[in-house]
This record gives sequence, C-alpha cells and structure tokens, in this order.
Amino acid sequence: MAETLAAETAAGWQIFFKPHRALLQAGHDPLLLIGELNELGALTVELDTSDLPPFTELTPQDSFLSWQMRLESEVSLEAVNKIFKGLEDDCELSILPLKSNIADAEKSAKQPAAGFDSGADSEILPQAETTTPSPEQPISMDGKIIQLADQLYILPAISVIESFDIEPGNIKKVTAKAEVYCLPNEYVPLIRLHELFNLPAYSDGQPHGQLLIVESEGQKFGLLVDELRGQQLVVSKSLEIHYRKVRGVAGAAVLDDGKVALILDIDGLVAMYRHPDLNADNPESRVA
Amino acid sequence: MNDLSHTDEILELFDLSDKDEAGLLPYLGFELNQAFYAVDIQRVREIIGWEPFTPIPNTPEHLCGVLNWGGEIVPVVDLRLLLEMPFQPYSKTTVVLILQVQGETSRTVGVAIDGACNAHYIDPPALSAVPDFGDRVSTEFISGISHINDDMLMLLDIDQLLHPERLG
Repeated sequence: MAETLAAETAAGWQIFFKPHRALLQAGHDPLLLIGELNELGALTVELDTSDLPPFTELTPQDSFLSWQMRLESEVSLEAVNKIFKGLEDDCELSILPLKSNIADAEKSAKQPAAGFDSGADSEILPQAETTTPSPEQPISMDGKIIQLADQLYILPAISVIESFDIEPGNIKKVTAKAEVYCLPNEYVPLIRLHELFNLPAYSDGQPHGQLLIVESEGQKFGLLVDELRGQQLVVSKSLEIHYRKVRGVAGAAVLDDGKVALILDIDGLVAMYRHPDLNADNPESRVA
Repeated sequence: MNDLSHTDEILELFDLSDKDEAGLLPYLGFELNQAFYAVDIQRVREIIGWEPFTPIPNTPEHLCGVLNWGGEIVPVVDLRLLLEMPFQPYSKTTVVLILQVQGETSRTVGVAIDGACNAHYIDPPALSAVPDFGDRVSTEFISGISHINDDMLMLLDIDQLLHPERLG
C-alpha cells in the first residue's frame, strides 16, 4: 500500500514516549526500550522532566519522565513499533516520519548532541521542546475500532477509560434531550453517537451496544456505539490537506482492507453534544 | 476495475498522445443530466470506478465521502448534486475523476459522474462566452462554451467548481 510506502521511505522517525506512572510496576524499563531504539540508528534523545514532583513527594516505583526522540535511520515504522509492542496500555506514544529536509533543517538550527543520550547519566535538560505535528504529518497511534451503523470509526485508545455492554436499565432521562448512564458511583452524560452523526438508530428500536467511558476537560462521558471491534495500531492522516477540518473528526486512517475509517476527536464530539447547533450542515458550523 | 493513471496514459487511452494539434487543448468530456461538460485533461490524475466511500458526518449531501487515493485521504463529490441536479443511484458505470485543483494550495478531489468519458480538442479562440444569468444561476465555474456536432459543451473551471467554499 502507498501508506506503507510513504512510511517506509521516511528518513527516520520522531518519537514521543511518555510512560504512564505504573509502567515500571508493570515490569517495563524505558531505558531498555530507548537502548533498543538506539540500535536501529542514530538516536537523539531529549528528556522531559516537567512532570517530576518535588523530591519529598517522589515515589521511586512510579514513572514521571517522558522522552522526545529523533531516530535517523531508514528502518520501517513496523520495526519501531515492534519495540513498543505490548506497551499500548502503559504509555502515550506518537511516531512521526522524519523527512530528510526537516531533519537537516532542524540539525542545523538546533545542533543536537550526537549519539545516544538516555537522560539517565547525562545532563538533564530542563524541559523538552514540544513538537506540534502539522496537519500533513501522519501520526501513529493505538485505536479502538468501533462500529456505528454500517461504518467503522476509530477512537484513540488513550481516550477510552473503560468500555462495557450497556444495561438498558441504567439509562435514565434527565430531560427529553438529555440522558445519563448510571455508573456504580456516578452519573455520566450519555452521548448517542448515532444521533450526533445523524445515522440510523437500532433496527429493533431497543437500545443495545457498548458504552465507552471517555473524558473531556475533566468530565466523564458515556459514548454509546453499536460495537467495539478491537484495537489496532493505525496511522492518522489529515483530512485538511485535500478537504478541511471537520468537527468531531481528528483525521482518518487506512485499515487493513484499504478502506478509510475516520478517527474521532473526543473533545470535538463533546462540543457537538453540548452545542447541537454546531452539528448543522452550514458554514457557521465549520471548524476554521 | 481498470484504473487509469497519469495524464499521458489518459491521453493515450483516448488516442490523443501522438497527435500534434498546435494551439488546441485536450479536454475530457462527459454527459450529465442531458448536458455535456468537459474538464481540462491535464488536471485529470486518474479515472477510477465507483465504490462506497467513507462518509463524513454532518457534511453536505453532495459530499459522497473520502477515499484512500495512493495513501492520501481525498474527498469525493457527486457532481450531479453539486450542480443541483436530481440524484441518480450509483452503478457499475459510475466513474470518479480524480482531479488536481489549484487554489491557495494544490488539492486533489474526486468527482463522481454518471460514466462514459470521451476526449476532445478545444480551440480556445473559438470558445463562446458564458451568458450572464444574474442571481438566477451561478456560472463562474464555466470557463467557456464549445460544441461537438450539435451538442453544446460546457468547459468546467474546476478551480472554481471545487473551491473549498463551494464544497462545504
């Protein structure tokens, strides 16, 4: 596929790796992973210590560091992903192609130290520069594949706190236009994705499906979908290059069968839920 | 489905690649709702068959969805609906022209048409001007009018026709 071709012709990879706090307790060692990356090519590492708590609150069993790395090598995306295999639920990870012109430009501008720097024994940088991906840059991520009517969509796995089959009795109406789902200790607004996307509802008229608990701006929401079809690594591509930004959609990915699935944006979906007028098919509803 | 790539291959398909028609421009013509239109063949990147594309929620009806074109996510527009013509169900004869659109940036957009394309050489000085219909009908996306035998052929300015504001 061309997607693979594009990925495999990259001059290298820009990797952001932020372990969740419990990564060490799960038996993983970030430094070993970085060491494996170093064996794939010329690796430059910037350590981000901004999440480190004060020394008196430091818990040695927890992970607080993150790394921004540049791997200059013609290895495939698959080879890089292989190193992080099995860590999907234990870290934030993004992998962007490093094009040679970008790499050269950055090299001349920043003059990074050559060679491997894990951050463990060397000078600790105060805070890494944050890399904001441009719309043109594909982003690799773990995605939950969900089915809604006859379409598949993808939710960034990192956005989903938990998922389960719904119990229809736990759905309670607040008003004619608002419902909550009863969790053991709290009520969360129920977002029916069918309604948000103007798709056909259930064929039998009865609510069923799976609920994905997601969080936006510190509040939990229940996202009702037909079915959760599993999880896979996807490469997010922009809609903006040839079309435009679409509210509730973060991008699109090409699935194994060559079909395109939209990657959903939780904050955008919640905004659409909170402000139904944004959903209308008119220029005012567009995202700039 | 036989997909045709690159302008040269398209010219060859229509038996135009070895012709030396000084001053004439090759156009790809097609019929839509009993009217004849044509686009600059140099802007046609590929001609592919119809397939169900991935719809984008809450977008205009004329936007069929997006497709994976060589690893890029490309929108596909139903030209009938964009031109406010009656919808016609898609079939095996429906084709999608993958077009290169120039604007602030270069974009690629698919356009679904009923089918059956043919090629014509157009003589620019011989084009007729497009009448002004005022507010009744927008015609800024028609760059000129030609004719093939007794049929009127409208040349589409795809940069105007597929402008982001018009796609919605």
